[in-house]
Amino acid sequence: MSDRPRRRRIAGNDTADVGPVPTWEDVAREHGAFIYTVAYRLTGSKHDAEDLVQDVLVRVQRGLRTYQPGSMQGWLSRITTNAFLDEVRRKKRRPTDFLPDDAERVLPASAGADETLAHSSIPDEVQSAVMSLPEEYRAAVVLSDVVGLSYQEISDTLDVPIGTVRSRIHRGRSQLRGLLGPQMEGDAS
Amino acid sequence: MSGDDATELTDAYELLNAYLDGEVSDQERAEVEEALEADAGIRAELHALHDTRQRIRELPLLEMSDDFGARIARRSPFGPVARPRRRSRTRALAVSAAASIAFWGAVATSGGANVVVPDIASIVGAHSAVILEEEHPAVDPSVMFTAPDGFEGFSLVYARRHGNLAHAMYTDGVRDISLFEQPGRIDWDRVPGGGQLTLIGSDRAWTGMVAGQTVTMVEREGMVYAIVASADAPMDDMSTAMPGDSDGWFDHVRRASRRTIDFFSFSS
Repeated sequence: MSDRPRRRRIAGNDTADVGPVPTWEDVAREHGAFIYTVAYRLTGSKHDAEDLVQDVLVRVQRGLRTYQPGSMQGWLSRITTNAFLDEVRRKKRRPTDFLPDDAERVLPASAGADETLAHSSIPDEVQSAVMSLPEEYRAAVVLSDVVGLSYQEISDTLDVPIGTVRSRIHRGRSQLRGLLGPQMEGDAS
Repeated sequence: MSGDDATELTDAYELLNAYLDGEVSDQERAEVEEALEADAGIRAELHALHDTRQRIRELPLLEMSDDFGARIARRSPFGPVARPRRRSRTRALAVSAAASIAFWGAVATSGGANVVVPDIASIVGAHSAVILEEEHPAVDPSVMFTAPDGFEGFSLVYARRHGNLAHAMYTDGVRDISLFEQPGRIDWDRVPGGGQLTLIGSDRAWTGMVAGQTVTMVEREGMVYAIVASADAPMDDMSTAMPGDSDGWFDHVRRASRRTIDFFSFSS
């Protein structure tokens, strides 16, 4: 039951590339869905995920200047997770920053038919359980179980010791098991 | 259970998770496999962990909505899409485009940097002047601003440089957004009243409503940015009538402003 070696969960068009550095357009076109998936798993919200994707693409534009060919999706996962955690920390510092004087003047968010259909097939109870995790556990679990990074890669991404990665994945999965356990037992019966 | 026992149990569960992921040393693997062989409870625990992990792994790859994907695909940071805009509007309130060269009311030099005293009225006036032009001149290719991400369906319709000052405008035909950029720093002691001092990211900013338009100014890395966002009357009426919604128009302005300034800061 043990996995070895590890493999990427949503590899898609991942390129363990040795060729020329891709352009921004290449990244957006070929890896947009990957970035969006990781962003959605981390944020649990279409709008927040879209914002995060855009933040990531800004960072990608900056980072491509120094990008060393390697695992593109590993690199994108790192950028996405760090952008997510940066935003979490920013919101915790300033939970109500930059509210316009007339914040009540707003428009309703309206999902297009395509995205409504796309999201209707998402296992909501699993996504909800993931969203209930503290952000640091969530990031570790998403990087491990959604993206498929190794503990060492997660350690590098989150800039924490590998023992902390192990602990966060254990704690995250334990919480998920508690939340999903009754459903899973129900599924099995 | 003693504290030591609890710690040992936690360590054992961590080890079991790591084993499941293939992230153990040879010695740890041997220890786990020995325990699995000897204890049905541990085997059941491993199966439960495996099932939990499998639920996460089965989450599907998501596709971006067509609209969002298309917007991303066509918005290369260095390739703005410019479409001429033709709008029939009265010129009764037209403000001379010449006002656009006087965005900042007064400029002084201090410590080698321009200290800018923002003239909000001029900024809004320049924004209005462009809106009221029925046809815009060709976009100056040296102003390579990308439409702010988060503004669905917006196109760059106006871009001019005046010395070291740049002005770009985006529109979706109903809503208009102007971006102004100039080297310098803001004289925070002289920003107008009636607005709100706040932060965009870690940068000090000012935001307020001026003549029905949202104005934001921020200073970053030696550059001063101003963003003016406005909507036609029907859009104003609609938005006013709606209940609070964190994903509304002004929330997009807030988020896109921060992102836009992030982008400008590194591309300028």
